[in-house]
Amino acid sequence: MRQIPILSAQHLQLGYRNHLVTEDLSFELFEGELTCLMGPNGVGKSTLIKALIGSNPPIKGDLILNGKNMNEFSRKSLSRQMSVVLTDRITSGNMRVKDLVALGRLPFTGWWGHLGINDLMVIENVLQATHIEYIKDSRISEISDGQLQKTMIARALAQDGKIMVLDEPTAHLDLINRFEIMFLLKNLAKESYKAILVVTHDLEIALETADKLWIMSCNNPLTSGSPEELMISGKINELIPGEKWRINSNSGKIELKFPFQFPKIIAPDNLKTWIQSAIKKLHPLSLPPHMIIKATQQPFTIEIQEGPNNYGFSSLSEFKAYLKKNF
Amino acid sequence: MPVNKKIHYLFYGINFLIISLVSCHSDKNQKLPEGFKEIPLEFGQGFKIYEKEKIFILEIHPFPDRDQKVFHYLVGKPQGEFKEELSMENIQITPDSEAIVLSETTQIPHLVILDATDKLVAFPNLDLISSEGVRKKINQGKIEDLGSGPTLNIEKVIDLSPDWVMVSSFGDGLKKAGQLEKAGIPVVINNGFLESHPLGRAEWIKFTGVLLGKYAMADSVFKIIRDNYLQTKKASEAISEAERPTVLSGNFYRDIWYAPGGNSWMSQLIWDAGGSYVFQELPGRGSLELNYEYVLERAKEAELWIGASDFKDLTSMDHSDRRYRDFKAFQEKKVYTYTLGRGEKGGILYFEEGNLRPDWVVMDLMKIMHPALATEHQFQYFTPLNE
Amino acid sequence: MNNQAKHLLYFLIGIGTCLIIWLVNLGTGSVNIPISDMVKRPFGGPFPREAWEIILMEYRLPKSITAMLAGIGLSISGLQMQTFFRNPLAGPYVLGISSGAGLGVGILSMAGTALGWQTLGGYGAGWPIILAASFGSILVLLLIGLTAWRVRDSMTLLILGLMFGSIASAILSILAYFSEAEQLKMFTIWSMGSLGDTGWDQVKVLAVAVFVGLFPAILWIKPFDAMLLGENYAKSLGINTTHLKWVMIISTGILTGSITAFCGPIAFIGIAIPHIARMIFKTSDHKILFPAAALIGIMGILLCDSLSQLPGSYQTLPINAVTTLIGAPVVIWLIIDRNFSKEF
Repeated sequence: MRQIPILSAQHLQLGYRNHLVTEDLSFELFEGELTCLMGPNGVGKSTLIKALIGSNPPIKGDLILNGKNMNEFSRKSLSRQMSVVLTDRITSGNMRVKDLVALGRLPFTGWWGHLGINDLMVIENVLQATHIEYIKDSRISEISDGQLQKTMIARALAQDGKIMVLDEPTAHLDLINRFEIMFLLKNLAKESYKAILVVTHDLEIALETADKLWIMSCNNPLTSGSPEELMISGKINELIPGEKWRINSNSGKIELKFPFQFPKIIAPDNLKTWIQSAIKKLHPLSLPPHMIIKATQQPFTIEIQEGPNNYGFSSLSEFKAYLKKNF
Repeated sequence: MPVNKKIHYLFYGINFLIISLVSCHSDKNQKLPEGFKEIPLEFGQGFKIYEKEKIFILEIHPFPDRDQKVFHYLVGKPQGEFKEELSMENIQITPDSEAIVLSETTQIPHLVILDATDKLVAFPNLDLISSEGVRKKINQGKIEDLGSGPTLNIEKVIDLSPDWVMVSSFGDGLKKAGQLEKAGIPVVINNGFLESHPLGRAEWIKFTGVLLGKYAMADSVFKIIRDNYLQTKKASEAISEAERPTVLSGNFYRDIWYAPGGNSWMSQLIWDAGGSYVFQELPGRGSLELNYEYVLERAKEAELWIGASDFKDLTSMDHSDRRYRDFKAFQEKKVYTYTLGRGEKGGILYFEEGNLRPDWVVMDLMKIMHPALATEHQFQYFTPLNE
Repeated sequence: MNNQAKHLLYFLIGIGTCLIIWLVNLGTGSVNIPISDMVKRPFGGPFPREAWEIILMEYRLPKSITAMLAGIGLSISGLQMQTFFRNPLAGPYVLGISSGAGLGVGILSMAGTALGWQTLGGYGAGWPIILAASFGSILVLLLIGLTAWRVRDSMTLLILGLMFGSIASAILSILAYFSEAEQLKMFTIWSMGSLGDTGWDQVKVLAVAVFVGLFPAILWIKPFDAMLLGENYAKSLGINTTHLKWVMIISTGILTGSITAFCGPIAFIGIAIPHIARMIFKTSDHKILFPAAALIGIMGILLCDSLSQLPGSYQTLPINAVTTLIGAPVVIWLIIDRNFSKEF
């Protein structure tokens, strides 16, 4: 059975009055999935988001939301279908976390904005789902960037739409928070059966968490698929224009397309990896092919055998200094 | 009416700066050349006249509360060694000047009374002039208009190259003076509006008289004005405090009441005409900015209201501010303004001539307050407002 | 709930303080009217002096009501502007309304002479000035309106407002340059602002204008909360920001326009009061901030007016100068001590 996309686009042309950003964009977004939109800067990700929230409608082509053309939705009914987390700075430091989350209920309240029992329940639920209940009375100016981002996600959740669009929600966050936010989104997609679209540059975390990856690149149609499919087919490399870099299909890490030829290294595995890494950073380096490097771990020793000559070092930095000086 | 104090202060600082810049040739400590004798003035405080062998030196010196430098003008045609000695430090003016430029309407009647209107070649905004004699010349196209801006059009003045230009130290007159002097055109400063005694203002006719080479004529004109004035004053001295009517003056600008200060020209005139000015004890030579409450409390029962701006009639006054109704003088229709004499272009004669003719002004006021004492007098400037 | 109770308490204290400040305001002036006589007055005890009756009933009372209306209107205008533009330094005059009103008055008082309307422009009080100021501010608002429909974001609108204001000021200085001392004086006095120039007739009209001006703002109170997150979030919450832009232009236009017409420009109330309201009530909820700003606006302007009366002297300071002298240090303190962009 083929699932019906909640949001899809065919041959979308996006851009501004006198400047076309994307020529021909088609995609499908499904409920219950975390989709990561990736692509180099300037490829039109933000333009796409603006089109989605209706602040810069497409020049040509249709956005189909829930089987209906998006421009048939009023702003208000659209706000009940889709919520967003943007990169816009929140300046109202006086606001409390729960007040900010409560703003998500705005599309459902009357002119005075009074919160009903149902609204209060939704707010309580999303505070729990995003694990920020413990800071609900704190002011925005007092919480950390990670907490603020979770608050903004909670607010978007409170809006209770089927679709949530997030623009780089993990930028400026530390490592732990990046993982936490993305896993939170992954769970939300599953548990609340939402279609979550995240714009991110964080390849590693995206590979780890996303159900789908959308790759936008210049002059190519949008490539979509699960991270695994894209890795296997190598299409993931569309993320990286040019000839110099590529994505390692084993580790998912970015590396040079034509990697460095290492001399023979005789050492335990974990030492070998870091010695290679250290040599890589000295690039460009022209080491003679017959060079052999030997290392032992406890105690740490490292030596270079180059024909009849032997040089021993007691630390990696001495070793690096020698290589740098002589080759 | 006295010139507004506030705007005054606005320009005051600027003046001070400019005076210090332009008047390097005049110095407070400067000594007069030998042999010059002062011709004492009776009321004027802003200038002095010195004379030696038909050569005059005019000295403009500062009023007590105004930091201003001293200016000297040499009027005459010194000969020989005498000339050498005098020409160094003074601005020289020839007494038989043919072409002059004035800048304030209050300077116009001086020409009329000294029979020198044909010397006026230009004036800024001719429409402001009301004096009949000069108006005729304007209509004949004999007087150039220097434009209606608040400042003299320097280029036009230089182009006309008059024998001298008279400016007031009010506004940016002094700045223009500096520019004109660079172009070699002598500029004289008229501070008449700063005098607080009515006869002090009138005495500036002597200043103009010296400049025009008509000192004797000016002196006799002043004597007539002075005698007239002092006669009225004498008549009023006999009036007891109780017989003096209480007089209110001024009007609202929004909710601020502007009225002549207790030491002002108008205050003196009211007293000399036999009245008692309600704001007599409030110090100030210019105008006062008063609070409505204070004015109402103080002047609600005043018998007369003299100098209520230039309203057409009581109805328009009422329309402009209903609070005028609260005053007894208004209710009893005892409101007088200075709009009787108007020029061809609507200018108010009182503003132009009043400074020179305090004798007429004081008689007008006496006729309002004590009609029996001024039966012969015809109103010159003041008129009661009708319904 | 705790918070609501606190806000309620603040409002009760505020209303009480307001009443006291109002009585103090009625009691201050050049003429000293004993409080005992003032208290007796509503119960039929006549004043010992007839002038006191006029001073209190025809001057101080309408003045204090004008002050209250101005306080409410300017504070609410400022609050709307600050939220809409998300700029803590926005105020009621950022769209150039005061310059527009000034231009109207300037044309009346200065150019009027040239066109022979001397009797109309020569004096301070009355309807001509009010009408001229209204026309001036409506003109600026119309120009803003004509260009605003093309404007996508609020920042551009802010810049437009500044530009129209500058143009109006420039025309005004040309007019001023060519006018005479009397006209200049008249305009200078207008630009210093005054609360005591409104009789009962004017107070009635001003009151109607202020209520009409408040109406759209109250009706759209919820979207203002959404605007706290910025225009994009507001849109995503289903707010029509274009409508909101018009609501704000119309509401502040009527409020600020009418107050400026009747009282002249009154600086800093509109900028400082919303910040003080935020600081005291520690909220960004407009349902609280609107009444809070109105209440504090009343107190602020009544205090400024009482100070400007220089009790006991025969002179009054211009209200615009007093509000600036008090308001500017408040803003400086907010910037330095409270880091108000964070609390905003």
